[in-house]
Amino acid sequence: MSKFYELAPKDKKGEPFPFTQLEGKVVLIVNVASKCGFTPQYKELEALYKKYEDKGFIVLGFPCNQFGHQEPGTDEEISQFCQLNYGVSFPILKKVDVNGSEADPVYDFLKNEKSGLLGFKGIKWNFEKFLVDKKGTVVERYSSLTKPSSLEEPIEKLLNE
Amino acid sequence: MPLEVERFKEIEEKLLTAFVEEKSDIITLVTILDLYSEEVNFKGSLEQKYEYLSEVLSLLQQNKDVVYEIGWDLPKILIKFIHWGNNNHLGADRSKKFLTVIMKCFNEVALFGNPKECFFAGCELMSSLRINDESLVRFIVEEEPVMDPENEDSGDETYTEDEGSSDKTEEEEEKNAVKDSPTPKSANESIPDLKEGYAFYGRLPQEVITELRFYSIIELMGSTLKRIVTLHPSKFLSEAVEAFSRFNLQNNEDVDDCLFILRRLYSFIRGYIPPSPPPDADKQVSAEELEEIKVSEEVLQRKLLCNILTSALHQLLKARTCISLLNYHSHLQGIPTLSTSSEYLGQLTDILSRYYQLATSFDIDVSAEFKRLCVDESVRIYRSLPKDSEIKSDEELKEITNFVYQLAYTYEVEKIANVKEILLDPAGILILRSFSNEDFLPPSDAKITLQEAIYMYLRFVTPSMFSALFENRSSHDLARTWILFALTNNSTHDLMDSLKDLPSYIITVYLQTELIRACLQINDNLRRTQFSILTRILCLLPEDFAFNFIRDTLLSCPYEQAKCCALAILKDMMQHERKVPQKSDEDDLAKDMEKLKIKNSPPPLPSRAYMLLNDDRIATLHSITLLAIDSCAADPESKKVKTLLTYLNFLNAFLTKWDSVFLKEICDAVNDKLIKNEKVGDKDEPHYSLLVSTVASISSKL
Repeated sequence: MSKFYELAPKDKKGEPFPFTQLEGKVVLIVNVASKCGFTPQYKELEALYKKYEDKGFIVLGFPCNQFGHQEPGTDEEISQFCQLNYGVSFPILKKVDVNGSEADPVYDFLKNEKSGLLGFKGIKWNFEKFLVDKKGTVVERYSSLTKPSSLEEPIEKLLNE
Repeated sequence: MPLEVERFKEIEEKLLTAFVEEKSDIITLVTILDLYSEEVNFKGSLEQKYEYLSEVLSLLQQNKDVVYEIGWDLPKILIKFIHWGNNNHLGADRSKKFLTVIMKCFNEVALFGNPKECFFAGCELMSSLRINDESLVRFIVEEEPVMDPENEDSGDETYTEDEGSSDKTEEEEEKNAVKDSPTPKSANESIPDLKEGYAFYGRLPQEVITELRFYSIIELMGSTLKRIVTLHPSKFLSEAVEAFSRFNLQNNEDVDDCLFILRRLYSFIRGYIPPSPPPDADKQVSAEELEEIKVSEEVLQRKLLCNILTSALHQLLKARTCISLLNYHSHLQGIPTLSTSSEYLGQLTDILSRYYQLATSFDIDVSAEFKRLCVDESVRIYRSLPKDSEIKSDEELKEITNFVYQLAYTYEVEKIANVKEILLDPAGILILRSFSNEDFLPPSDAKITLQEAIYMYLRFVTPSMFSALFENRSSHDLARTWILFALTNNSTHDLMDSLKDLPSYIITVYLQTELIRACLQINDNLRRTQFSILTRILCLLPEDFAFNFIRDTLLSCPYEQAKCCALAILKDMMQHERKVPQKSDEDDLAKDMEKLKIKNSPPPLPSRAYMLLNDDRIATLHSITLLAIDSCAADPESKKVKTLLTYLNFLNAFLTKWDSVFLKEICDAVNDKLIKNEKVGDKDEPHYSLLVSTVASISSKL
């Protein structure tokens, strides 16, 4: 079993969100921020989620304040913001660090599995994305510039595997 | 006076013809373009320049094949139009329009020029760009004189001052003769006033122009870099890094507002995408070799990006302090920090925070690198020095003390000379670590002992005593901040232990260096904070050591101001009493008591001054005061009078504890040797009357 499923980050209420519940699902993990130029990507992420939810696809948002301090709110505020402005229905988990010594284990795992440009492991900005297949393997990493809508093809491919 | 209409039309027509007739002769075409551009830039009105550049842009857009050939030569021609003379801040829209057309020309070069050649042209321009360059704000004819319109084809193209201004007055002619510059008078006459420009922008006009040029060049470099096709992208990135380093090194002392450079560099580093490999790379080398090249190229590029990220911070913040020490000191005192009250510091915080985030995304473990490159490396520089017990004579002590002063300098020079790798810059890491928090303060979870902080201070500060190259205001400020951090984040017990473990001569070098630096500090608040740190450390040292340091300063320091400061610190230490042991000390004591199984708590220790004024010390200070009187009598300059006044004020503060015979001797000596003999002859000397009244005050109390 992939170590991915051993991870259990906290949800917005601080309760464990065990990844065992993701077994057999295709997962897109995104570090999100409410005051970022890329924040409108929420809309496309939600659209992706709605489109493929029934087929076993899920999006997980990890709020993070490490880039330009663009996620300053509390977990409750972040959750409200996502629902009110973008109708987000996929899980938004607890705010975490994605880089540095305090980085959440989920991100340590993802970064080690898939490096970014030039082999740098660190997350460069908000809305970087990791695509994980049904077996818990990190298959791809996308930069903030990659629009969620452009990921339909790889997601479908993984769902059909 | 603008170019005559006929001449301007002629230039436009000839330029058009050149793009048709000289298409196959690239060198001639570039020469023509260069000469006409220079003439229009020097002599044309802003409208003519705009029209000319629009014409150039149109020609470039229509002749992309020509742009490919001559593109590399165009940036140095175009960049000259970004000039204070063409920057009319009162007509902002016009200037904006003008700049836009220049940028569009650059864009053509970036998109259609030969990418490698244009990239190198950008690097060359970046390396030679200087803020302190008069040609940014005055039109100066360089090697090639401007063509004489009357004699354009003669080949005898010397520019004459008289051109177009035959009715000059004698006075004007004289002025121009003195100037020794063949600059066209009319061109410079129309340049916006520099003072007015400074008032408008709040910055040096040279810097405003440099920023615009820097922006154009870095955009050109970035755009062309993306178009390059190569198996070895690190070669190109290293050229860019080298060009940025040169720019930073050449300008860091002249730059008033480094934020624009930091921002542009940040965008370049963050947005860097490596050039693509050739589509047929797999035909050029085997798959295995290709993979090897890819891996090693990635390593090199990572190192280069991390290097420029850290060295840019080091170089660009060299000439100005980040006011870290004052900020931290304010924070400790519970008053609003400066980073929240100053717009500049607020902006600096923001960009430093972005550099920090970028560093972490580049996998730099700032905390670990700080420990490795700043703390441990500093300790290592001094680790092989002998213990106090191994030093056998005063002569040896003197030698080793001098050696300590020079050690970090020697280390840094050797490090530069022997560098074989692309490394992180320790001073850059020092900045990143110090500002890794949102509140612009050293991170509260950091651990550093006072001993480590002192070694780090010596490593970052002492090299500048031997070469101005190592002068770095922000590093010095941060090194002090970390000493204050160590002082406030370790228990008194640990601080005292930390100092005990240091060889005495290391402490002396630190105290001497910081005392002199504090004396030379022009910012009152900062100077007070530096003295406060020095006082705290002297209070932590054994009394005799602290007193001997002050005594030696009074006896042999060449700076009068340092003597005054040493006396002020001594007065402070003798007047203030140690506080009741702090919580941590109480805890230590309680633990010790527990170990000893003593049930009854000991009686509280009586409070005592940090420095006792005993008979020996009184005798020593008395004799030093007499020496100061003699020294002042021999050479009654203002600084010495001020020092003597400080001695008298010091005595005045301890009259009740001082032997009245000693005091009388001192008052008599001042009266006899200075006042009665009118040695301090200048009655306007500001300290004279104070000297007289202080002596009178002391005498009256005897």
